[in-house]
Amino acid sequence: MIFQEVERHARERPDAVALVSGADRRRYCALVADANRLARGLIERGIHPGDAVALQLGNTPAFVIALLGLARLGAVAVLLDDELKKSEVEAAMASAGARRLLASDTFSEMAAIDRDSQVPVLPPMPPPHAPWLCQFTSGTTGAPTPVVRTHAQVAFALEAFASAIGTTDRDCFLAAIPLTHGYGLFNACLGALHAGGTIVLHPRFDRRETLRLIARERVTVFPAVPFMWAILAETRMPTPVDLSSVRWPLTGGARLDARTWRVVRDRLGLQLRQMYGTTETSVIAMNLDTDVESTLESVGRALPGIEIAIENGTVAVRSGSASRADADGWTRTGDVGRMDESGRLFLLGRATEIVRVAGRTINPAEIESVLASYPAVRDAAVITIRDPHGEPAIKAMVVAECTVGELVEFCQGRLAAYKMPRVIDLCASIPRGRTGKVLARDIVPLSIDD
Amino acid sequence: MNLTIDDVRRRLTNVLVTRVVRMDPKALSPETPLIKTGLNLDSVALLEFVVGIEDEFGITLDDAALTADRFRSLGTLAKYVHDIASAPAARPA
Repeated sequence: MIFQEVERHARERPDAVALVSGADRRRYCALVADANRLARGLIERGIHPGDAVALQLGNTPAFVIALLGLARLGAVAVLLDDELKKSEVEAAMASAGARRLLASDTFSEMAAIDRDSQVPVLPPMPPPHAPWLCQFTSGTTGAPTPVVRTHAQVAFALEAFASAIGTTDRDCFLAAIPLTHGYGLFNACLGALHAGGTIVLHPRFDRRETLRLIARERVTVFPAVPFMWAILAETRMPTPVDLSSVRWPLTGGARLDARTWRVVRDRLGLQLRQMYGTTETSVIAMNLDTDVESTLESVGRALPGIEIAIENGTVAVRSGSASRADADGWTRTGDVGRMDESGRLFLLGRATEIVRVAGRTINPAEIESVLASYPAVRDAAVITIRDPHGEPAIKAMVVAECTVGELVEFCQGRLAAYKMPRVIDLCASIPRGRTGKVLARDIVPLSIDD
Repeated sequence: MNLTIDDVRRRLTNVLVTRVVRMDPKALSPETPLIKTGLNLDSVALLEFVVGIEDEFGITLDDAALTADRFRSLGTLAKYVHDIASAPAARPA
Protein backbone atom coordinates (compact mmCIF):
# COMPACT_ATOMS: atom_id res chain seq x y z
CA MET A 1 0.00 0.00 0.00
CA ILE A 2 1.15 3.50 -0.85
CA PHE A 3 1.72 4.77 2.68
CA GLN A 4 3.96 1.83 3.61
CA GLU A 5 5.88 2.32 0.36
CA VAL A 6 6.48 5.99 1.12
CA GLU A 7 7.51 5.06 4.69
CA ARG A 8 9.99 2.56 3.24
CA HIS A 9 11.49 5.20 0.94
CA ALA A 10 11.79 7.54 3.96
CA ARG A 11 13.55 4.82 5.95
CA GLU A 12 15.93 3.74 3.19
CA ARG A 13 16.60 7.17 1.63
CA PRO A 14 15.43 9.78 4.17
CA ASP A 15 17.18 12.65 2.40
CA ALA A 16 15.86 11.87 -1.10
CA VAL A 17 13.69 14.73 -2.38
CA ALA A 18 10.02 13.74 -2.61
CA LEU A 19 8.45 17.10 -3.56
CA VAL A 20 9.66 20.25 -5.27
CA SER A 21 7.37 23.26 -5.17
CA GLY A 22 8.96 26.64 -5.79
CA ALA A 23 11.79 26.93 -3.26
CA ASP A 24 10.32 24.12 -1.12
CA ARG A 25 12.30 20.88 -1.53
CA ARG A 26 10.69 18.37 0.81
CA ARG A 27 12.54 15.17 1.62
CA TYR A 28 10.88 11.78 2.08
CA CYS A 29 11.51 11.79 5.85
CA ALA A 30 9.76 15.18 6.17
CA LEU A 31 6.87 14.09 3.94
CA VAL A 32 6.13 11.07 6.16
CA ALA A 33 6.41 13.17 9.32
CA ASP A 34 4.02 15.78 7.85
CA ALA A 35 1.51 13.10 6.82
CA ASN A 36 1.59 11.46 10.25
CA ARG A 37 1.12 14.84 11.92
CA LEU A 38 -1.88 15.66 9.73
CA ALA A 39 -3.40 12.23 10.46
CA ARG A 40 -3.13 12.89 14.20
CA GLY A 41 -4.48 16.41 13.77
CA LEU A 42 -7.51 15.02 11.95
CA ILE A 43 -8.16 12.46 14.70
CA GLU A 44 -8.04 15.27 17.26
CA ARG A 45 -10.71 17.06 15.22
CA GLY A 46 -13.01 14.07 15.20
CA ILE A 47 -12.12 12.39 11.89
CA HIS A 48 -12.05 8.61 12.07
CA PRO A 49 -11.02 5.77 9.73
CA GLY A 50 -13.67 5.46 7.02
CA ASP A 51 -14.71 9.13 7.19
CA ALA A 52 -14.52 11.19 4.02
CA VAL A 53 -12.57 14.46 3.89
CA ALA A 54 -12.69 16.74 0.84
CA LEU A 55 -9.46 18.25 -0.50
CA GLN A 56 -9.37 21.43 -2.57
CA LEU A 57 -5.69 22.22 -2.50
CA GLY A 58 -4.49 22.38 -6.11
CA ASN A 59 -1.06 21.03 -7.07
CA THR A 60 0.64 21.84 -3.75
CA PRO A 61 2.71 20.02 -1.12
CA ALA A 62 -0.36 20.27 1.15
CA PHE A 63 -2.31 18.15 -1.34
CA VAL A 64 0.27 15.34 -1.29
CA ILE A 65 0.58 15.51 2.51
CA ALA A 66 -3.21 15.35 2.85
CA LEU A 67 -3.47 12.35 0.49
CA LEU A 68 -0.88 10.46 2.53
CA GLY A 69 -2.27 11.60 5.88
CA LEU A 70 -5.70 10.29 4.94
CA ALA A 71 -4.14 7.06 3.61
CA ARG A 72 -2.40 6.55 6.98
CA LEU A 73 -5.59 7.25 8.88
CA GLY A 74 -7.71 4.98 6.69
CA ALA A 75 -9.98 7.88 5.72
CA VAL A 76 -11.24 8.73 2.25
CA ALA A 77 -9.76 11.65 0.26
CA VAL A 78 -12.46 13.34 -1.83
CA LEU A 79 -10.61 15.18 -4.60
CA LEU A 80 -12.09 18.49 -5.75
CA ASP A 81 -10.85 20.62 -8.63
CA ASP A 82 -9.53 23.92 -7.32
CA GLU A 83 -11.66 25.85 -9.81
CA LEU A 84 -14.97 24.56 -8.41
CA LYS A 85 -17.32 27.21 -7.06
CA LYS A 86 -18.83 27.06 -3.56
CA SER A 87 -22.11 25.48 -4.68
CA GLU A 88 -20.23 22.84 -6.71
CA VAL A 89 -18.00 22.05 -3.72
CA GLU A 90 -21.04 21.67 -1.48
CA ALA A 91 -22.81 19.37 -3.97
CA ALA A 92 -19.70 17.22 -4.41
CA MET A 93 -19.13 16.94 -0.66
CA ALA A 94 -22.76 15.97 -0.10
CA SER A 95 -22.67 13.27 -2.79
CA ALA A 96 -19.42 11.83 -1.38
CA GLY A 97 -20.58 12.12 2.23
CA ALA A 98 -17.59 14.31 3.11
CA ARG A 99 -17.86 16.07 6.48
CA ARG A 100 -14.81 18.29 6.28
CA LEU A 101 -13.09 20.36 3.62
CA LEU A 102 -9.33 20.80 3.60
CA ALA A 103 -8.61 23.90 1.54
CA SER A 104 -5.61 26.22 1.50
CA ASP A 105 -7.10 28.35 4.30
CA THR A 106 -7.96 25.45 6.66
CA PHE A 107 -5.03 23.12 6.00
CA SER A 108 -2.54 24.47 8.54
CA GLU A 109 -5.25 24.63 11.20
CA MET A 110 -6.04 20.91 10.70
CA ALA A 111 -2.36 20.00 10.66
CA ALA A 112 -1.69 22.04 13.81
CA ILE A 113 -0.51 19.61 16.41
CA ASP A 114 2.50 19.52 18.69
CA ARG A 115 5.40 18.50 16.47
CA ASP A 116 6.75 15.89 18.93
CA SER A 117 3.45 14.68 20.28
CA GLN A 118 2.58 11.02 19.81
CA VAL A 119 -0.96 11.70 21.00
CA PRO A 120 -3.51 10.93 19.75
CA VAL A 121 -2.24 7.49 18.83
CA LEU A 122 -2.72 6.52 15.20
CA PRO A 123 -5.01 3.56 14.44
CA PRO A 124 -3.62 0.41 12.76
CA MET A 125 -2.85 0.70 9.04
CA PRO A 126 -6.06 0.38 6.99
CA PRO A 127 -6.65 -3.00 5.28
CA PRO A 128 -6.15 -3.24 1.46
CA HIS A 129 -9.90 -3.24 0.81
CA ALA A 130 -10.40 0.04 2.71
CA PRO A 131 -11.56 2.91 0.45
CA TRP A 132 -9.03 5.70 -0.01
CA LEU A 133 -9.70 7.89 -3.07
CA CYS A 134 -12.94 9.45 -4.20
CA GLN A 135 -12.94 11.21 -7.57
CA PHE A 136 -15.78 12.36 -9.74
CA THR A 137 -16.94 11.22 -13.11
CA SER A 138 -19.82 12.77 -14.97
CA GLY A 139 -22.95 10.64 -14.93
CA THR A 140 -25.80 10.66 -17.43
CA THR A 141 -27.99 12.81 -15.19
CA GLY A 142 -25.42 15.57 -15.28
CA ALA A 143 -24.57 15.44 -11.60
CA PRO A 144 -20.95 14.34 -11.10
CA THR A 145 -20.89 10.80 -9.69
CA PRO A 146 -18.33 9.82 -7.04
CA VAL A 147 -15.96 6.95 -7.91
CA VAL A 148 -14.34 5.36 -4.87
CA ARG A 149 -11.07 3.40 -5.11
CA THR A 150 -9.57 1.14 -2.46
CA HIS A 151 -5.91 0.97 -1.46
CA ALA A 152 -5.62 -2.40 -3.25
CA GLN A 153 -7.12 -1.07 -6.50
CA VAL A 154 -4.74 1.90 -6.44
CA ALA A 155 -1.76 -0.40 -5.71
CA PHE A 156 -2.68 -2.58 -8.70
CA ALA A 157 -2.84 0.44 -11.02
CA LEU A 158 0.51 1.79 -9.78
CA GLU A 159 2.24 -1.56 -10.23
CA ALA A 160 0.93 -1.86 -13.80
CA PHE A 161 2.19 1.65 -14.65
CA ALA A 162 5.57 1.13 -12.95
CA SER A 163 6.23 -2.18 -14.66
CA ALA A 164 5.19 -0.80 -18.06
CA ILE A 165 7.68 2.07 -18.08
CA GLY A 166 10.23 0.78 -15.56
CA THR A 167 10.17 3.67 -13.08
CA THR A 168 12.99 3.97 -10.53
CA ASP A 169 13.81 6.21 -7.57
CA ARG A 170 15.87 8.38 -9.93
CA ASP A 171 12.77 9.39 -11.89
CA CYS A 172 11.47 12.93 -11.64
CA PHE A 173 7.80 13.54 -12.51
CA LEU A 174 6.40 16.92 -13.54
CA ALA A 175 2.88 17.55 -12.20
CA ALA A 176 1.54 20.35 -14.41
CA ILE A 177 -1.94 18.88 -14.94
CA PRO A 178 -4.57 18.88 -12.17
CA LEU A 179 -3.81 16.19 -9.58
CA THR A 180 -7.49 15.94 -8.66
CA HIS A 181 -8.09 14.12 -11.96
CA GLY A 182 -7.04 10.51 -12.45
CA TYR A 183 -4.61 11.20 -15.28
CA GLY A 184 -2.47 13.61 -13.25
CA LEU A 185 -2.97 11.93 -9.89
CA PHE A 186 -1.73 8.50 -10.96
CA ASN A 187 0.83 9.35 -13.62
CA ALA A 188 2.39 12.51 -12.17
CA CYS A 189 1.97 12.03 -8.41
CA LEU A 190 1.22 8.53 -7.09
CA GLY A 191 3.47 6.92 -9.73
CA ALA A 192 6.37 8.99 -8.39
CA LEU A 193 5.65 8.15 -4.74
CA HIS A 194 5.39 4.45 -5.65
CA ALA A 195 8.83 4.56 -7.32
CA GLY A 196 10.41 6.70 -4.61
CA GLY A 197 11.08 9.44 -7.16
CA THR A 198 10.53 13.19 -7.09
CA ILE A 199 7.35 15.13 -7.90
CA VAL A 200 7.83 18.64 -9.26
CA LEU A 201 4.60 20.48 -8.48
CA HIS A 202 3.49 23.16 -10.91
CA PRO A 203 0.23 24.69 -9.65
CA ARG A 204 -0.87 26.63 -12.70
CA PHE A 205 0.24 25.86 -16.27
CA ASP A 206 2.74 28.46 -17.42
CA ARG A 207 4.41 27.71 -20.77
CA ARG A 208 7.91 28.99 -20.16
CA GLU A 209 8.01 28.01 -16.50
CA THR A 210 7.05 24.44 -17.49
CA LEU A 211 9.94 24.25 -19.97
CA ARG A 212 12.36 25.79 -17.45
CA LEU A 213 11.27 23.33 -14.74
CA ILE A 214 11.85 20.34 -17.04
CA ALA A 215 15.38 21.53 -17.75
CA ARG A 216 16.25 22.63 -14.20
CA GLU A 217 14.91 19.56 -12.39
CA ARG A 218 15.93 17.08 -15.13
CA VAL A 219 12.33 15.81 -15.39
CA THR A 220 12.09 12.26 -16.77
CA VAL A 221 8.31 11.63 -16.81
CA PHE A 222 5.92 14.33 -18.00
CA PRO A 223 2.24 13.55 -18.58
CA ALA A 224 0.30 16.35 -20.28
CA VAL A 225 -2.68 16.78 -22.59
CA PRO A 226 -2.27 17.31 -26.37
CA PHE A 227 -3.15 20.99 -26.12
CA MET A 228 -0.32 21.62 -23.64
CA TRP A 229 2.19 19.79 -25.82
CA ALA A 230 1.10 21.80 -28.88
CA ILE A 231 1.38 25.11 -27.05
CA LEU A 232 4.78 24.20 -25.50
CA ALA A 233 6.09 23.32 -28.97
CA GLU A 234 4.93 26.69 -30.31
CA THR A 235 6.45 28.70 -27.44
CA ARG A 236 9.71 30.46 -28.26
CA MET A 237 12.31 30.52 -25.48
CA PRO A 238 14.85 33.33 -25.06
CA THR A 239 17.59 30.70 -24.74
CA PRO A 240 17.29 27.03 -25.77
CA VAL A 241 16.19 24.67 -23.01
CA ASP A 242 17.55 21.14 -22.66
CA LEU A 243 14.65 18.68 -22.58
CA SER A 244 16.82 15.60 -23.16
CA SER A 245 16.12 14.28 -19.65
CA VAL A 246 12.49 13.46 -20.55
CA ARG A 247 12.33 9.74 -21.27
CA TRP A 248 8.53 9.47 -21.02
CA PRO A 249 6.74 12.37 -22.73
CA LEU A 250 3.17 11.17 -22.18
CA THR A 251 -0.10 12.39 -23.59
CA GLY A 252 -3.66 11.51 -22.66
CA GLY A 253 -7.02 12.98 -21.80
CA ALA A 254 -7.85 13.93 -25.39
CA ARG A 255 -7.17 12.74 -28.93
CA LEU A 256 -3.64 13.30 -30.20
CA ASP A 257 -3.42 14.35 -33.82
CA ALA A 258 -0.47 13.57 -36.06
CA ARG A 259 0.30 17.26 -36.58
CA THR A 260 0.81 17.86 -32.84
CA TRP A 261 2.98 14.72 -32.60
CA ARG A 262 5.26 15.94 -35.40
CA VAL A 263 5.46 19.54 -34.13
CA VAL A 264 6.49 18.26 -30.69
CA ARG A 265 9.10 15.95 -32.23
CA ASP A 266 10.50 18.65 -34.53
CA ARG A 267 10.57 21.53 -32.04
CA LEU A 268 11.02 19.83 -28.65
CA GLY A 269 12.80 16.66 -29.80
CA LEU A 270 10.31 14.46 -27.94
CA GLN A 271 8.31 11.51 -29.27
CA LEU A 272 4.93 11.62 -27.54
CA ARG A 273 3.38 8.40 -26.34
CA GLN A 274 -0.36 8.13 -25.89
CA MET A 275 -1.83 6.52 -22.84
CA TYR A 276 -5.40 5.70 -21.98
CA GLY A 277 -7.31 5.22 -18.77
CA THR A 278 -10.57 6.05 -17.06
CA THR A 279 -11.43 7.42 -13.62
CA GLU A 280 -12.66 3.94 -12.62
CA THR A 281 -9.55 2.05 -13.75
CA SER A 282 -6.60 4.51 -14.00
CA VAL A 283 -4.19 3.85 -16.87
CA ILE A 284 -4.91 0.62 -18.72
CA ALA A 285 -3.04 1.02 -22.02
CA MET A 286 0.06 2.80 -23.24
CA ASN A 287 1.86 3.08 -26.56
CA LEU A 288 5.26 1.47 -25.89
CA ASP A 289 6.09 0.82 -29.57
CA THR A 290 9.75 1.36 -30.51
CA ASP A 291 8.71 3.10 -33.72
CA VAL A 292 6.04 5.35 -32.19
CA GLU A 293 5.56 7.41 -35.33
CA SER A 294 4.11 4.48 -37.26
CA THR A 295 1.48 3.87 -34.54
CA LEU A 296 1.14 7.33 -33.02
CA GLU A 297 -2.65 7.27 -33.26
CA SER A 298 -2.84 4.19 -31.01
CA VAL A 299 -3.16 4.45 -27.24
CA GLY A 300 -1.12 1.23 -27.16
CA ARG A 301 -1.62 -2.23 -25.72
CA ALA A 302 -3.03 -3.30 -22.35
CA LEU A 303 -0.58 -2.87 -19.45
CA PRO A 304 0.72 -5.98 -17.62
CA GLY A 305 -2.02 -7.77 -15.68
CA ILE A 306 -4.81 -5.92 -17.52
CA GLU A 307 -7.09 -7.29 -20.25
CA ILE A 308 -8.84 -5.17 -22.86
CA ALA A 309 -11.52 -6.35 -25.27
CA ILE A 310 -13.77 -4.70 -27.83
CA GLU A 311 -17.38 -5.55 -27.23
CA ASN A 312 -19.96 -4.30 -29.74
CA GLY A 313 -17.52 -1.58 -30.70
CA THR A 314 -16.89 -0.32 -27.18
CA VAL A 315 -13.92 -0.85 -24.85
CA ALA A 316 -14.24 -3.32 -21.97
CA VAL A 317 -11.51 -3.82 -19.34
CA ARG A 318 -10.68 -6.50 -16.79
CA SER A 319 -8.32 -5.09 -14.19
CA GLY A 320 -7.63 -5.34 -10.48
CA SER A 321 -7.50 -1.56 -10.50
CA ALA A 322 -11.19 -1.10 -11.42
CA SER A 323 -13.51 0.53 -8.89
CA ARG A 324 -16.47 -1.39 -10.27
CA ALA A 325 -17.10 -4.32 -12.57
CA ASP A 326 -20.11 -6.13 -13.94
CA ALA A 327 -20.93 -9.67 -12.70
CA ASP A 328 -18.54 -11.19 -15.28
CA GLY A 329 -15.59 -9.19 -13.89
CA TRP A 330 -15.39 -6.77 -16.84
CA THR A 331 -15.79 -2.98 -16.65
CA ARG A 332 -17.50 -1.33 -19.62
CA THR A 333 -15.92 2.06 -20.28
CA GLY A 334 -18.38 3.51 -22.79
CA ASP A 335 -15.47 4.53 -25.03
CA VAL A 336 -15.76 3.52 -28.67
CA GLY A 337 -12.64 1.79 -30.00
CA ARG A 338 -11.09 -0.82 -32.24
CA MET A 339 -8.13 -3.11 -31.82
CA ASP A 340 -5.64 -4.20 -34.47
CA GLU A 341 -4.44 -7.80 -34.86
CA SER A 342 -1.53 -7.25 -32.48
CA GLY A 343 -3.65 -5.85 -29.65
CA ARG A 344 -3.07 -2.14 -30.22
CA LEU A 345 -6.07 -0.09 -29.13
CA PHE A 346 -7.39 2.87 -31.14
CA LEU A 347 -10.01 5.15 -29.59
CA LEU A 348 -12.74 6.52 -31.83
CA GLY A 349 -14.94 8.50 -29.45
CA ARG A 350 -17.41 8.01 -26.67
CA ALA A 351 -20.71 6.21 -26.62
CA THR A 352 -21.81 8.20 -23.63
CA GLU A 353 -22.10 11.96 -23.85
CA ILE A 354 -18.96 13.09 -22.08
CA VAL A 355 -16.83 15.86 -23.48
CA ARG A 356 -13.16 16.26 -22.77
CA VAL A 357 -11.75 19.75 -22.91
CA ALA A 358 -8.09 20.33 -22.06
CA GLY A 359 -7.82 17.08 -20.12
CA ARG A 360 -10.89 17.63 -17.98
CA THR A 361 -14.18 15.80 -18.35
CA ILE A 362 -17.29 17.84 -18.82
CA ASN A 363 -20.81 16.54 -18.92
CA PRO A 364 -22.99 18.58 -21.28
CA ALA A 365 -26.04 17.67 -19.18
CA GLU A 366 -24.59 19.48 -16.16
CA ILE A 367 -24.10 22.68 -18.17
CA GLU A 368 -27.53 22.30 -19.77
CA SER A 369 -29.19 21.98 -16.38
CA VAL A 370 -27.47 25.15 -15.09
CA LEU A 371 -28.57 27.06 -18.21
CA ALA A 372 -32.10 25.69 -17.94
CA SER A 373 -32.36 26.86 -14.32
CA TYR A 374 -32.24 30.50 -15.48
CA PRO A 375 -35.86 31.73 -15.53
CA ALA A 376 -35.68 33.30 -19.02
CA VAL A 377 -34.40 30.07 -20.59
CA ARG A 378 -36.92 27.80 -22.36
CA ASP A 379 -34.49 25.21 -23.71
CA ALA A 380 -30.74 24.67 -23.74
CA ALA A 381 -28.40 22.24 -25.43
CA VAL A 382 -24.63 21.90 -25.28
CA ILE A 383 -22.51 20.45 -28.06
CA THR A 384 -18.80 20.19 -28.75
CA ILE A 385 -17.26 22.21 -31.51
CA ARG A 386 -13.70 22.19 -32.82
CA ASP A 387 -11.75 25.40 -32.53
CA PRO A 388 -9.42 26.36 -35.42
CA HIS A 389 -6.71 24.15 -33.82
CA GLY A 390 -9.02 21.14 -33.87
CA GLU A 391 -9.30 21.14 -30.06
CA PRO A 392 -12.72 20.44 -28.59
CA ALA A 393 -14.59 23.37 -27.06
CA ILE A 394 -18.06 23.75 -25.60
CA LYS A 395 -20.85 25.54 -27.41
CA ALA A 396 -24.24 26.19 -25.83
CA MET A 397 -27.40 26.76 -27.83
CA VAL A 398 -30.14 28.44 -25.89
CA VAL A 399 -33.75 29.36 -26.51
CA ALA A 400 -34.27 32.32 -24.18
CA GLU A 401 -35.72 35.77 -23.76
CA CYS A 402 -32.53 37.37 -22.51
CA THR A 403 -29.06 38.35 -23.71
CA VAL A 404 -25.96 36.19 -23.95
CA GLY A 405 -24.33 38.50 -21.40
CA GLU A 406 -27.00 37.70 -18.80
CA LEU A 407 -26.54 33.96 -19.40
CA VAL A 408 -22.77 34.21 -19.04
CA GLU A 409 -23.11 36.13 -15.80
CA PHE A 410 -25.62 33.61 -14.44
CA CYS A 411 -23.39 30.62 -15.32
CA GLN A 412 -20.24 32.18 -13.88
CA GLY A 413 -21.44 31.93 -10.32
CA ARG A 414 -22.45 28.29 -10.85
CA LEU A 415 -19.87 26.69 -13.13
CA ALA A 416 -16.09 26.38 -12.88
CA ALA A 417 -14.28 28.35 -15.59
CA TYR A 418 -13.31 25.22 -17.53
CA LYS A 419 -16.99 24.24 -17.86
CA MET A 420 -18.06 27.61 -19.24
CA PRO A 421 -19.16 27.43 -22.89
CA ARG A 422 -16.72 29.06 -25.34
CA VAL A 423 -19.67 30.14 -27.48
CA ILE A 424 -23.30 30.78 -26.52
CA ASP A 425 -25.77 31.12 -29.38
CA LEU A 426 -29.40 32.14 -29.05
CA CYS A 427 -31.65 29.96 -31.25
CA ALA A 428 -35.32 29.96 -32.20
CA SER A 429 -35.63 26.27 -31.26
CA ILE A 430 -33.50 23.22 -30.57
CA PRO A 431 -34.48 20.24 -32.71
CA ARG A 432 -34.35 17.00 -30.75
CA GLY A 433 -34.55 13.43 -31.94
CA ARG A 434 -36.99 10.89 -30.62
CA THR A 435 -34.75 10.08 -27.67
CA GLY A 436 -34.41 13.75 -26.80
CA LYS A 437 -30.89 13.78 -28.20
CA VAL A 438 -29.96 17.07 -29.79
CA LEU A 439 -29.76 17.09 -33.57
CA ALA A 440 -27.01 19.68 -33.65
CA ARG A 441 -26.75 20.07 -37.40
CA ASP A 442 -30.33 21.26 -37.73
CA ILE A 443 -30.10 24.17 -35.34
CA VAL A 444 -30.90 27.53 -36.86
CA PRO A 445 -28.89 30.42 -35.41
CA LEU A 446 -31.18 33.31 -34.48
CA SER A 447 -28.59 36.01 -33.82
CA ILE A 448 -25.10 36.56 -32.58
CA ASP A 449 -25.37 38.60 -29.45
CA ASP A 450 -22.68 40.90 -28.04
CA MET B 1 7.98 52.92 -38.57
CA ASN B 2 5.74 53.90 -35.69
CA LEU B 3 3.31 51.29 -34.52
CA THR B 4 -0.06 52.83 -33.63
CA ILE B 5 -2.61 51.39 -31.23
CA ASP B 6 -5.03 51.07 -34.15
CA ASP B 7 -2.47 48.95 -36.07
CA VAL B 8 -2.00 46.74 -33.02
CA ARG B 9 -5.74 46.31 -32.57
CA ARG B 10 -6.25 45.45 -36.23
CA ARG B 11 -3.48 42.83 -36.12
CA LEU B 12 -4.80 41.44 -32.80
CA THR B 13 -8.26 41.09 -34.37
CA ASN B 14 -6.71 39.20 -37.26
CA VAL B 15 -4.85 36.81 -34.92
CA LEU B 16 -8.05 36.28 -32.95
CA VAL B 17 -10.26 35.39 -35.91
CA THR B 18 -7.66 33.26 -37.71
CA ARG B 19 -6.25 31.32 -34.75
CA VAL B 20 -8.80 31.33 -31.94
CA VAL B 21 -12.43 31.94 -32.88
CA ARG B 22 -13.97 31.71 -36.30
CA MET B 23 -16.08 34.80 -36.67
CA ASP B 24 -16.58 37.89 -38.76
CA PRO B 25 -14.03 40.53 -37.59
CA LYS B 26 -16.73 43.16 -38.24
CA ALA B 27 -18.62 41.80 -35.23
CA LEU B 28 -15.70 42.77 -32.98
CA SER B 29 -15.23 46.24 -31.56
CA PRO B 30 -12.47 47.62 -29.29
CA GLU B 31 -14.93 47.23 -26.41
CA THR B 32 -15.93 43.58 -27.07
CA PRO B 33 -15.16 41.76 -23.82
CA LEU B 34 -12.70 38.88 -24.36
CA ILE B 35 -13.16 37.03 -21.09
CA LYS B 36 -15.95 36.46 -18.60
CA THR B 37 -18.58 37.91 -20.96
CA GLY B 38 -18.68 38.60 -24.67
CA LEU B 39 -16.35 36.13 -26.40
CA ASN B 40 -15.72 34.47 -23.03
CA LEU B 41 -12.40 32.94 -24.09
CA ASP B 42 -11.31 30.12 -21.76
CA SER B 43 -7.75 29.48 -20.62
CA VAL B 44 -7.04 27.21 -23.60
CA ALA B 45 -8.26 29.82 -26.07
CA LEU B 46 -6.35 32.59 -24.29
CA LEU B 47 -3.08 30.68 -24.55
CA GLU B 48 -3.69 30.03 -28.25
CA PHE B 49 -4.29 33.75 -28.63
CA VAL B 50 -1.13 34.63 -26.70
CA VAL B 51 1.08 32.33 -28.80
CA GLY B 52 -0.42 33.93 -31.92
CA ILE B 53 0.26 37.44 -30.56
CA GLU B 54 3.89 36.55 -29.78
CA ASP B 55 4.37 35.25 -33.33
CA GLU B 56 2.64 38.24 -34.92
CA PHE B 57 4.59 40.91 -33.04
CA GLY B 58 7.81 39.00 -32.32
CA ILE B 59 7.45 39.70 -28.59
CA THR B 60 7.41 37.62 -25.41
CA LEU B 61 4.43 37.77 -23.06
CA ASP B 62 4.89 36.15 -19.66
CA ASP B 63 1.98 33.86 -18.74
CA ALA B 64 2.12 35.32 -15.21
CA ALA B 65 1.58 38.82 -16.61
CA LEU B 66 -1.57 37.82 -18.52
CA THR B 67 -4.09 39.33 -16.14
CA ALA B 68 -7.84 39.73 -16.55
CA ASP B 69 -7.36 43.51 -16.66
CA ARG B 70 -5.14 43.32 -19.73
CA PHE B 71 -7.48 40.88 -21.48
CA ARG B 72 -10.65 42.79 -20.67
CA SER B 73 -11.16 43.83 -24.32
CA LEU B 74 -9.30 44.18 -27.59
CA GLY B 75 -8.80 47.84 -26.64
CA THR B 76 -7.07 47.11 -23.29
CA LEU B 77 -5.04 44.29 -24.84
CA ALA B 78 -3.96 46.50 -27.76
CA LYS B 79 -2.62 49.07 -25.31
CA TYR B 80 -0.63 46.42 -23.41
CA VAL B 81 0.78 44.82 -26.57
CA HIS B 82 1.55 48.25 -28.01
CA ASP B 83 3.58 49.16 -24.90
CA ILE B 84 5.61 45.96 -25.12
CA ALA B 85 6.06 45.99 -28.89
CA SER B 86 7.19 49.63 -28.80
CA ALA B 87 9.77 49.07 -26.07
CA PRO B 88 13.29 49.26 -27.54
CA ALA B 89 14.20 45.70 -26.43
CA ALA B 90 11.33 44.16 -28.39
CA ARG B 91 12.43 45.63 -31.73
CA PRO B 92 14.23 43.17 -33.95
CA ALA B 93 17.96 43.83 -34.01
